[in-house]
Amino acid sequence: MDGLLTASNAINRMLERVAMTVGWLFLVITAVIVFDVLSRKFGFQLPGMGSTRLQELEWQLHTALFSFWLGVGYVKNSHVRIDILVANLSPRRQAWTEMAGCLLFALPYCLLAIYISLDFTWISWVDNEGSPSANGLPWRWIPKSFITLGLIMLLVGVVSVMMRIIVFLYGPERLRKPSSFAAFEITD
Amino acid sequence: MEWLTHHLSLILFFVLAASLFCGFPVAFVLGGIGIMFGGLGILLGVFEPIQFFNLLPRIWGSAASNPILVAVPMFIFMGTMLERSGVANDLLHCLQVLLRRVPGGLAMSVTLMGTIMAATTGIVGASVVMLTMIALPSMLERGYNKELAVGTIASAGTLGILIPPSIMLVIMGDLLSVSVGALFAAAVIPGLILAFLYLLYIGGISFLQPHKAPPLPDAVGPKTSAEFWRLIGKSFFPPVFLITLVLGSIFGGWATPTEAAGVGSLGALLLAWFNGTLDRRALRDVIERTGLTNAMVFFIVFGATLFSFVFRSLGGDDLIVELLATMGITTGWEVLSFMLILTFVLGFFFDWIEITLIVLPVFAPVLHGVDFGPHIGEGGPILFMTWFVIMMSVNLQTSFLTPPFGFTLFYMKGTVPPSINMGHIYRGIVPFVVLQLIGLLLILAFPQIALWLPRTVGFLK
Repeated sequence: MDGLLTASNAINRMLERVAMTVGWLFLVITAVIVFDVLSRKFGFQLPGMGSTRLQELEWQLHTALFSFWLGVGYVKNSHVRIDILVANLSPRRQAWTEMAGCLLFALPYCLLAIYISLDFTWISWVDNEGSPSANGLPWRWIPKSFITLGLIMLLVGVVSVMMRIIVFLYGPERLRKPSSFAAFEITD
Repeated sequence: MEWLTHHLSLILFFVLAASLFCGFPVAFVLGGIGIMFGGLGILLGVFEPIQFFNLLPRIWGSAASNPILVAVPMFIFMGTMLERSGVANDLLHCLQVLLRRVPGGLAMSVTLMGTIMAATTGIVGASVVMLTMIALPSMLERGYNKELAVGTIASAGTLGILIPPSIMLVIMGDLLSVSVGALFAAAVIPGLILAFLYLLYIGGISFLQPHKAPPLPDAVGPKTSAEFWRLIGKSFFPPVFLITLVLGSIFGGWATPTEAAGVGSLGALLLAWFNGTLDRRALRDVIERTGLTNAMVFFIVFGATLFSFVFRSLGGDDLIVELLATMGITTGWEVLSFMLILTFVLGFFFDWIEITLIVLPVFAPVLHGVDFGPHIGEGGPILFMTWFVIMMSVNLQTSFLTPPFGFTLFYMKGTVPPSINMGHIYRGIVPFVVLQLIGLLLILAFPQIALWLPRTVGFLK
């Protein structure tokens, strides 16, 4: 049980580290947008960095930003929930509900989406797909693979939460508080 | 069996509505239920397994390769940065000082702050929590009437979904194919009217019952006029200038909303730097909050994409039109009233993100067929959509505030000190709900309130 909790904590730390590293791209996007606006205003262009490319770069960076934050969003419990009806259940029941949700909704969704997404990215790689616009960015498989990787990180996050729930439900008393999560979080 | 196949999409809608209340993250429930009903559809022979492969191209098209939606994280980043760097706090303080001799000045400064800083994240729950934390303590300290204090804060917090730059308008514009610039322009006058109604009410009640809104002591604030102008120059002008620049560049047609948001983010970074609060820790904090909020919004896009596409594949579009027709809802006014009432009820439980992304795709086919003709003037369906989005926004704002369920009130209860109970919150919010309804009726009766500005600046014909 201790091992399970340690593993879950390690997973959460890793998800967080990846997300934070990717997070600095917010500053990069800001810079790209400002550069694009200014260079168009002054009719100035870096070779190979026309406005079309810059604008494609903006949304491709954004794709990385939301994809790589999906998983950490779940382990940090920032995805919206409608919890007004279940807020008063006991922590144990909450934990069971969360487990049921993982098995019924989260796991099937992640697995199916990853499977389809692998196919989607793979086709793009095989076709050497580029931008439909002549002066756009090449290598569409890169932003597409962000989504695949993001979904895999999401699945990892779901597994991590399930591990915590097992520790919470079946582990020894002393692990109850450190393994509590989101709806069944024990704060005092 | 026949009946089941025909009504599968409708059952899907109701099962989804019920399942959302299990307290599991909405995006997962949307996706999971979508898969279950896709599977059920396969068993009944009305859905092909291969259709699931549409999922990724759809996510790709709606969330990823969509330059418009890049405005969402950029506006969140800008708002979070302004808040974290203390710019928002300084602005509130400055407004309080400016209005300290006006009856109800403290409360009015909160309303003005909500109007100017509407950008702050744009997520209602977060705005209300932020305003409660920075504004409520000083009001209570001055002995403000508790009802007036909480009513002001809750209403100011919901203004953010209407007053641009609003990320809800970005997403609605994208879903209904209306230009985001047009929606931003359309929201300005309705937003100002609501803010004005709030100010009128606060001023009136503070004038008639001064004990409810004691002013700040004269000792607070600048002693000399040099100090006064320094305060204005440091706390008031920079954020107001930034917001004006962002909106002005959109309305003037110089920048797309995405570009304006990017430039606004740089502006927010610069303001934080001038303020001396831009360090590594602050940046990490802003990045984390922006990243999480942004992922929350886009994950719902992921889930809703699967749900709405399974719903449509199972014949949901036709069924909704058919269903409304059998309920006798066919004319423009009937469809409009139905939509407003439906979203009003949903607004008790859901933030605008879920309502927009789940309900709009389901009902969009009905909306596209609506004709209001002379009431809104010549200009085709785009005119109706613009007007409709603005009414939806005001309607949702009202719903979020309406006791006993309005979910803003629950966020608020979680943040206020124990001396304030649910009764104070309910009583405090009622006058503002009435003002919201007045605003909504005005926009219903006079569509030009919303449509005049986008027409004048050239977004609508």
